[in-house]
Amino acid sequence: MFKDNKYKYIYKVFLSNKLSIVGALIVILFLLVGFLGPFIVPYSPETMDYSNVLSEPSIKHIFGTDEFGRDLMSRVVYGARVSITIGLIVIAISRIIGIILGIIAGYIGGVFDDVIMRFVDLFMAFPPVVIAMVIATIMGGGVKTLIIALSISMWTGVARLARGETLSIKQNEYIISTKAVGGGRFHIMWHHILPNILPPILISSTLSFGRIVLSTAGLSFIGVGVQPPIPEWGLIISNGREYIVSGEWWLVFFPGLAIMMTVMGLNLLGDGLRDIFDPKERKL
Amino acid sequence: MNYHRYILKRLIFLIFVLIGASLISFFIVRVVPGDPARMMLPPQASPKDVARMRVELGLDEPYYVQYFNYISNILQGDLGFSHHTGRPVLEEFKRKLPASLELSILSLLLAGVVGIWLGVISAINKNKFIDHFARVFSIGGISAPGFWIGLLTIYFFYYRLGWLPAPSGRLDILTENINQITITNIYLLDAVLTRNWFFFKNAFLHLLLPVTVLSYSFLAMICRLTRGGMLEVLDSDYINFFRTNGVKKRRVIWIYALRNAVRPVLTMMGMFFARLLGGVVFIETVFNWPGIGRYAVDSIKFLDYPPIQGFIIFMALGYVLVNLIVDLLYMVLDPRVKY
Repeated sequence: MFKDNKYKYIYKVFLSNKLSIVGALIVILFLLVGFLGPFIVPYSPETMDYSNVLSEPSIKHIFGTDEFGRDLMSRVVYGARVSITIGLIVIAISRIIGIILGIIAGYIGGVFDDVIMRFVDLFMAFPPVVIAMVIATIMGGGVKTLIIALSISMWTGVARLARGETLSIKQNEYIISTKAVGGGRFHIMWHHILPNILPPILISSTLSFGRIVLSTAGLSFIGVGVQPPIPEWGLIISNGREYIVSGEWWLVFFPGLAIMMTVMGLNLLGDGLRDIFDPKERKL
Repeated sequence: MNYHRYILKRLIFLIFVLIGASLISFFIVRVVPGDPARMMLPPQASPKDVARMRVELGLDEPYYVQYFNYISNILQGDLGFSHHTGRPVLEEFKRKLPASLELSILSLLLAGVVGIWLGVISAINKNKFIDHFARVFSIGGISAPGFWIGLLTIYFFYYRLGWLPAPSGRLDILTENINQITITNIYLLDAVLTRNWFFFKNAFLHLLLPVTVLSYSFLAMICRLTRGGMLEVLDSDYINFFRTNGVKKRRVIWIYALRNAVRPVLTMMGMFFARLLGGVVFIETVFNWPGIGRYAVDSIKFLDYPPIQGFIIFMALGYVLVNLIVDLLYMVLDPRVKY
């Protein structure tokens, strides 16, 4: 009965926010394109056609072709897979590190709290691009560099959130009574704190996903991220860059539009979800 | 916590950031594959030469001695030599830093002024057209990559319309040779100081797109924050008090309310500036801007380590300075804060 009402409430709040529905639809489209990509594109993203280079968008090639005559639409569609894969890996790594350190800082506190939070502050002082440049200097550009760099810059937000949630849950009576009947630290952190801090952290992942998509594209654009010939959105834009001053706009326009739509969808959905689960943060 | 302790705590943290940055930049060269001494010498150098170079560079010393030497070199302004250009890194930074500063300070100013203005306007016109417009505008700024918007503006304003110059850096290629006389290397300022209006116009036109594009996403974030803060403040008792006592509406909004509404913006300013410094890297790449961001990106391609080390130090220094300024501003703006 009670549970039923809760879902009804969630459903109602979510549907009342039209923008978050738009966001959800965009995200679903993005995921579908990512998973079904190979089945819906008319060409392979790697097939070159030298009789058909830099051709404008047409019925045959809806997004046009690039300097090797590759179909741009196929490449942009495959790009969604690249973004999803990198996004999921970075989300997983940064959540795991952030949750573990955040719970330790919040629950055990003391010196652990001080040390962990100072490191959070330290990593926040450096923008992701600088961290990526450092890693790229050490191990060269590539998917691995990108994943490490983004995980390093994303765990800080998770740790802060996990610590804050832990601090408030720690005060609850059931935690105190668990302690009274002899529940150990690890037991409490694993069985009582973790399940309770997961929902807000999972919701924040939607917004993080958007930031990861943006950073992935940006870092690949300046050459420290994904390397050719992987069809990554930022990389496609970087290839099209030199043609923008001679008028071949589609090479830059379509992959960028894909980035913008995806990030916008994730942001709108993330805002909507946050409104449901955290009414305090609701936008005025 | 009293005020002195707060300042002390902040100072300790900022020093910690600098030490962190110096450690990262120190170890970066020591973990990369390959011997730095080997890399500084031509391929035909004998092992004996390499060994001598190692001693010369102090690489035979233990790490803590090397680190101490590294720090004392930095404090004396010695950031090493760029392997690629053969020039001292500090000299390169002196030439390139003003270009990046001009870009980022103007962007921050534009983002601050327009973002706060738009935030206030949309808060007092809540749910009217201008508010919806500002929201869509903000969502765009937060979602679209700056380098993409930059390239699109080049396409429209240079290729299609021909209104603005080609993205050739800070000046037209021809003008670059004429104007060698610079004082501060911040071109707009130099042009005013030398009353060279042709130079001013050229530099201004070249700044227009990169500054606008770089400021866009920060403008969007500042607008959202100001709007939220403003709505909260406008609801409070003291604002009603002013209004019922006959203080003009405009005065209440732009002075009494804004003063408090802008506080969340100020709190975020340090973080914004850090992100802005990151954004500089992309915008400089797009507009061929000869600043430190593009210099660092190029250095990675050439595996030229000293400029990258210098870049890390400069970024940390910028972050620390801005945060200090923000802390001080915060106290000036809100005398209630007594930490």
